[in-house]
Amino acid sequence: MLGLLYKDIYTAKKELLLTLVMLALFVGYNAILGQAEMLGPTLGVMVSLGAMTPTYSLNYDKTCGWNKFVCASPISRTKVILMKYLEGILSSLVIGLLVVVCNLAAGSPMPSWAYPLLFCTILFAQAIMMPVCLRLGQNMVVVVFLLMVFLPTGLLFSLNKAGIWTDEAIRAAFDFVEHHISSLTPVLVLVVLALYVLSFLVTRHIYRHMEF
Amino acid sequence: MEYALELRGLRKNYHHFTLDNVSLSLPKGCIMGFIGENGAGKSTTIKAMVGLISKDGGEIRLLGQDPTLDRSVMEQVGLVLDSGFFPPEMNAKQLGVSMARIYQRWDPEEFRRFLERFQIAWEKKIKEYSRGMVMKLSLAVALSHGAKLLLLDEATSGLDPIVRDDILDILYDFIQDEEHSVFLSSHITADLEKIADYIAFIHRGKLLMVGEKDDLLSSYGLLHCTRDQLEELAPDTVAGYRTSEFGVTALVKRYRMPGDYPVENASLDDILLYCVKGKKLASQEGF
Repeated sequence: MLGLLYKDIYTAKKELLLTLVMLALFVGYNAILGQAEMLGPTLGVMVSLGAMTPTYSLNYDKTCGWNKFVCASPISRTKVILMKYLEGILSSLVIGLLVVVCNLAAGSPMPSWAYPLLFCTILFAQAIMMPVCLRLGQNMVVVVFLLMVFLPTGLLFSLNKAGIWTDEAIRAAFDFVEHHISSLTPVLVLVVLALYVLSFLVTRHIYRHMEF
Repeated sequence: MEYALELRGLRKNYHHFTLDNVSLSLPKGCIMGFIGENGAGKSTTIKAMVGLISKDGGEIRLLGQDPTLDRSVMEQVGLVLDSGFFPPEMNAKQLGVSMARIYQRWDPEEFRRFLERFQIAWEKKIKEYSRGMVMKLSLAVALSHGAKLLLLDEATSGLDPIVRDDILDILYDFIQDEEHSVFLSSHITADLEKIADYIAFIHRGKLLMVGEKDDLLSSYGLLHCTRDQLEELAPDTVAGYRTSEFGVTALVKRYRMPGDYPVENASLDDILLYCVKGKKLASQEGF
């Protein structure tokens, strides 16, 4: 299985380098100018990257013909998909570490309890997008990702504008999360991990029935 | 006799195409050429063999094992497809590192020797390769993990005669050890005439004939005659015929011919052409 990881690292070298350069720019900017406002966009970019990385890899294998090779090799299709999910977790952990660095560089405006939330957000997005990528392609992944970002934001904004969910209510919701985060985090992690496993099973089912 | 490859009643159904009960056996230490026109079912058969598509029926045995049940047999099966399947961003060196972790019997020295023989640069990215180089790289990989059976799908198509000849030489060397076997699909029949021991001929998803190449070539011949002479022959003597302003040319079964007809040698191309495009005598049903 390590051979698959090597191959994914070699093929994504350029993208990984580009990601690191972008992050270095963000972190450097935040550290030098100490602008906490830049942390939001930085985290947005990093969460997007963490969420999309395994889908890029899945899509790349589809387009370059690698699936034909690997599915005719001794490696089972289950292991091929398992490796993609392990890479997903790995990329989430790396992004998680970078989030910590970015937060520290910006003077720690983000509370530490938000770390597991961001980690879960990345895993949640991957869990949704991996089967979508395999079944419907990378273009649909972008659509789904945008829906995942803008649908809740738009809904929240609309409810707020309509006066249904007021600023006070939003603030109260954030306060509730903040006060109960120690008990909510394990539940959230378990739910997201369960979703991740379910997503693996769905993706594996799709992949096992794919013909090349 | 031990077989490297056995298919028994292999079936695969698509909306507009059916691979229909394909059965064949390739003895160890031999090369089988798999011929047929484009769309005849050659690639479908090979894909079903290695598990790239699921079969709808029948049995597949590669080196005595069913690859749909036990993937470990693929350690000993090398595959070369008509289109490259390695990531274009990688180079041969990186590919070697990956392959060493995919195949237990990967031999890096053997791989290096093949790359040198094929004059493939170690650091050059695959996206910069010519088609011939991609094919050679695929072959180098297929030959560097201790494969006992090579499956090649149109591996020589689109290559210049020199590269094709190189590849045929390598295949010939490969089977000198009698444990090694090659199954090679191609519509370049000249290549198969050079190296194949057996020929399987597929047409519209059905296997029309399988046998030793020499038997096949000696069994069939070309007869130049008039239409009246052709009509005198038993219908099952004529595999197919074509008419021209000079008369009729028919592919005939030599062993069924009366002795006084002059019959020329037929090539695999002739056999393929007359079986696929030749007309049948009125009372013939199929071939």
